[in-house]
Amino acid sequence: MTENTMSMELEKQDVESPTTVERTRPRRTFVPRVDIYETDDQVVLLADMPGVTENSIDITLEKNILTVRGEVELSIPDEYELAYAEYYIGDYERTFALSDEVDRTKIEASIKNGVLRLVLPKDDAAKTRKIAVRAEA
Amino acid sequence: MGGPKSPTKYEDEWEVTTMMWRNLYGNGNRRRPGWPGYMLREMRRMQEEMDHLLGGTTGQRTTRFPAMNAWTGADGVVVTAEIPGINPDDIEITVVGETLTVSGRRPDLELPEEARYHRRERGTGEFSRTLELPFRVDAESVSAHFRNGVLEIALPRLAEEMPKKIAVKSAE
Repeated sequence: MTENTMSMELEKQDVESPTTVERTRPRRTFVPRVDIYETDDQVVLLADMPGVTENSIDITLEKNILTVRGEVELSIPDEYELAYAEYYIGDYERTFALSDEVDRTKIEASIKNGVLRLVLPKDDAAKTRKIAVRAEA
Repeated sequence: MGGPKSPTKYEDEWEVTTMMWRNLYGNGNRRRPGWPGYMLREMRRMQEEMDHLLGGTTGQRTTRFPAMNAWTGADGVVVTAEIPGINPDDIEITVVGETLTVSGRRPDLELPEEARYHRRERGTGEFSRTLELPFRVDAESVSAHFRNGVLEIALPRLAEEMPKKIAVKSAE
């Protein structure tokens, strides 16, 4: 990864909204940065969503499309005004296409210190579908 | 001493403000005016200077993490930063005079051996940010909260540097 793309990624990215979707909140929406890793029996997704709580997050699964939305509320007293800004405050939204391996009934979500953690267990069929190949002597 | 200078003589808005500030609070106040509108410009200028100093040797744009916002009020400033995924105990905040430093470390994920990444966009590692404030801070009264990955630091202005209200007496 080059230095240039790294600094690009440090800035928040606006969600590119499909033309068919109209937003109803007068708030910018950003794409949360994510880590996704896979182990033998599950896929784990971590998303940076600072300011989002367990009550302001909304996770929906429709067919194989998983959508994560988080709303952020400002907590600054009224008598303060923004004097210097390096980042915008806004909501988060990102969609993911799930593979068939994921057991849709067992998805678990938790949020801590502004990081969403989604655990997507693979279903048993997916686990057994793997065929071990042994080297023959 | 000559007559009062006309402010229109000063084409630079900044100079006028500095002059107004001096007229109000005296020349003994060596600090720059802390008016919210000018604070933005001052803080940005100082940040750019700092970036220039840090990036000058490599010629590369310095990566700033965490990004910071500053909110001004009558008695001080509130600085906010988004630092998701860090334990509040691992954030170190120091205030010396008018300099605020926030540093810490975002831990690497501890993955099982067989795990493999599909995406890796979140940053990890050590970070340190320094912000120059336009006034000296009462370091004893600084308070910080960390909620849902957002750090909020309240920095009250040093009492002796607070602007004083000047009562106008009638000449009767």
